[in-house]
Amino acid sequence: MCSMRLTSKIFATTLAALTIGFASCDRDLNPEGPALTDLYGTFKVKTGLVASQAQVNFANGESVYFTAETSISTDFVLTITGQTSGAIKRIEGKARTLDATNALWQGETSQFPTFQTEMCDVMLTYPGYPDTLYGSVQVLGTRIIDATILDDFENGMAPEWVKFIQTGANMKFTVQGGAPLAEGTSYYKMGGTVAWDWLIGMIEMPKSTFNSGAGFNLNSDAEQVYFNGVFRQLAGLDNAIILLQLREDDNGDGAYSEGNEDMWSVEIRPGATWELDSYKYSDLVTLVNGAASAAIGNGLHEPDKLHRVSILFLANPSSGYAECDTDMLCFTENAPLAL
Amino acid sequence: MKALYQRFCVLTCLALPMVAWAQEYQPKFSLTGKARGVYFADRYSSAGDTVTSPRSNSGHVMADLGMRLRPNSSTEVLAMVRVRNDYGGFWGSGVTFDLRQLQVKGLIQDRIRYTLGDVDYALTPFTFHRPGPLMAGILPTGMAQLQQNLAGYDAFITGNNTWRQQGGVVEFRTDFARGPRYADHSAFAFRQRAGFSGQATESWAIGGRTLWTLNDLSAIAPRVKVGLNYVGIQELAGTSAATDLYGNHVLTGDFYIVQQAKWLLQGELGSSSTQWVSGDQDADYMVDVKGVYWPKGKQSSLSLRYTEVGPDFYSPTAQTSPNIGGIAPAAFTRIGNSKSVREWTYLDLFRESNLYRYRWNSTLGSDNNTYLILDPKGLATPNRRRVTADFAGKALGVFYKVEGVWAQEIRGQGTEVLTQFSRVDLDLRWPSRLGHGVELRGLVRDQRAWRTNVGDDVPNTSYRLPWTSWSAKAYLNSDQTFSVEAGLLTLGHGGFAYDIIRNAENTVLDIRGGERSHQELLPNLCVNYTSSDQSTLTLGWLGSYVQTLDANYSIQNLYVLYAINF
Repeated sequence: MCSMRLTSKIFATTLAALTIGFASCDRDLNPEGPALTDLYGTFKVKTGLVASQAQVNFANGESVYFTAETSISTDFVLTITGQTSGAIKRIEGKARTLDATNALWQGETSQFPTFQTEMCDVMLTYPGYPDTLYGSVQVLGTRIIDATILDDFENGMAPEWVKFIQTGANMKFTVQGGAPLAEGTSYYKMGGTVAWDWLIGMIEMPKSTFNSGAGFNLNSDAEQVYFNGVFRQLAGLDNAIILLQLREDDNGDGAYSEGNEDMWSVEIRPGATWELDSYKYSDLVTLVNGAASAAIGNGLHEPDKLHRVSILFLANPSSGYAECDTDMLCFTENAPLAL
Repeated sequence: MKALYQRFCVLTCLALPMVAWAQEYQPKFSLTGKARGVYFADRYSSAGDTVTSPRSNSGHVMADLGMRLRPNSSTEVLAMVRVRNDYGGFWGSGVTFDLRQLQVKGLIQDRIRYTLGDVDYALTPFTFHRPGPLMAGILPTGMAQLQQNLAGYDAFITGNNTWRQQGGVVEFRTDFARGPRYADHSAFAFRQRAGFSGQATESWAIGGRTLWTLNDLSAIAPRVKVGLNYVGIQELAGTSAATDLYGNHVLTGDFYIVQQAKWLLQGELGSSSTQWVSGDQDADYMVDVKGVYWPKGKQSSLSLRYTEVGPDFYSPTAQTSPNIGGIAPAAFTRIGNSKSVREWTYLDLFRESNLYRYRWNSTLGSDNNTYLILDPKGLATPNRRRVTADFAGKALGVFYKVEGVWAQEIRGQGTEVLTQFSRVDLDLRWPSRLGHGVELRGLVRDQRAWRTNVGDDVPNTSYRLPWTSWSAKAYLNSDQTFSVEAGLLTLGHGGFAYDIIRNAENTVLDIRGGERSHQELLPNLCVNYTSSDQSTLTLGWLGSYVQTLDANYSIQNLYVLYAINF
């Protein structure tokens, strides 16, 4: 009799365990994955292209988004072109509906120069389909750049820069204007032929002179700090190298001790068109003759101990003339620069 | 306490076979294992292909030498070493040595059996169960023999749906003075992944089964067994820097009620919960109930089965598909003038063990399988509810079995419209006494998948997989040591179907539809000499004629296979 009770208990325990298991299962029967009608249905434009506001002032922190709807989820390319500047912002994605989540414009640029206060044409295309939708939006104010700007060269070259130029032929280290522009109306041009050394010239921004001696005041968390710059080299050449060097005052004595304190570097090989390059401070490495190697100092990425920023313009001495332009050299926090 | 002991249970010696094992004469040292010699002469042919070398020969001789040591009557140590020499290697790079199995097992106080090391283990079809190889049970004998002796053996495929695991197993039986007759218990702990000093997160699978037999077999009352099964897979905290850990837990109960020679009712129901590394959680349940009826006085049976496995019921140790899609076979890896990578076909599954999964996969993943669309992950394939009915019997000396399966998704893939599946098998066997004995077999299988009216011009799923298997085997002498066999396997699949692309956590990322067409014809002719139950020498010819949307070629081979188990 007792054994039968034991058996019953076993049954009851099993049943209870399984019942609890079942009860905890709230089966989700919503279809999995992307809708087949989005993937394989017939393409039709259901709602035309509309801007959320006809005029936008990015300087006031405003933004504008675009809406449109098609019958299926498909690739789209939204292109905003400044009528005066020729600046282009391109937004790409895949969706059935364009809205603030996937078609938001905060005044940034995909293809330099940056936008001005101007009228912009907006074009929406769907690759693979002939339909093209058009619209427009007026920019009343350009975006405010939230960054520690080393130089944007709009007022000539900042006097805090320490310049070194080798002896060579066709040496150009000057602020320039005129198309093609990147940010604003001026940029810095470096060029020349130095047949006996890789270094053509360099500019350095010491902490001691930046911001009237107040320093860079960067965040101590290297994961949060980004160095940004816009670069290009003369079309038809591919020999220009920009070497960025960030030297740290590890021991806090106010000076950088060569061979004892950290120097973080990155090599940049610009393309023929303006490109915004951003580097997270913590991703920078120690370079010796272009190869990554062990840290020189304490091995810690410490932006708050940055002693000076050096931008070296290099080229293989046997490669002949090299030319490279740069603009908007700055540090940002939390995210790369968006221009 | 004593009374309780007497009333409830008496922990006695283990199952009788264990006792017998302990008592019968056992030599201190013996050899066990398998030896095999095989040689293939392949010939490839494809119209217009002027690049691919048409001939490829391969072969090896191999011995798995298992040394069984019995230091005392209750302990056994097995160490099996594989020595393999590819023909042509000759003392050189073709010779390989490997450890095939290392195992220690024994009895504790003649009551508890333990096994440590490499263990072949299985539980129920929904908890710990390696799905059988593709087309298990339907291959002509000659082809099945190739698969079992070559790729299947190398990939540790046994007839009991076991996975080869590393760890420990403990088994014992509890006898009862009253009430239930006895209960068999099994518990395991298998190490799935080592931590490598923090470089990876260590993972273990633990669980077991307790199966209670409530009464003895009798002509009056049905025999009843009930079981409880648990399998848990868990990454261990602290073994690496990872703080998000994978865990999967499956709990099922099963029962088995049989009235001798009249009817059988069995089933399993349970649930699973899964903790993914991303933090997402899934939980779901499964139900499986089967009834069998044997009509009185007739050599026939009728069965009906309902199975439902929820879309989020994850039981990796029972749902890992047997083969790996998307990898290239070793034989004729690239074919055609453009040197395209050849997709593996069934011919390759006979010979190449690297096309099989040796281990279960904790994340399941995409694993789309063009050969199986109804149940690519075995009976426990998630997101299926199905009804199976079969009728088997014997008439005019012919054994027959008709089985029909209808299945449906539970949760739609990209649509609320559910895909339907069907499979119908007709299997006929005719063992005849003509001459020295003749065995004929024919199997026709029709499988389909369909889904219509999704809307917005979405193409319908319309997919067919017609297969047939034919074989005729004749014995050439009275003691049936010599036989000749002809077999033919035709495999096809074609139509419009969708592949579901999933990430490691089974989230659907994409759905890719496309038209497919695949026809495979495998004829086989072989002569066998079977000197004992354990050894067979086969000389045969096997062909594979493949026609797909992208390829049209054939591979024919002559082969010699000798295999012996000892």
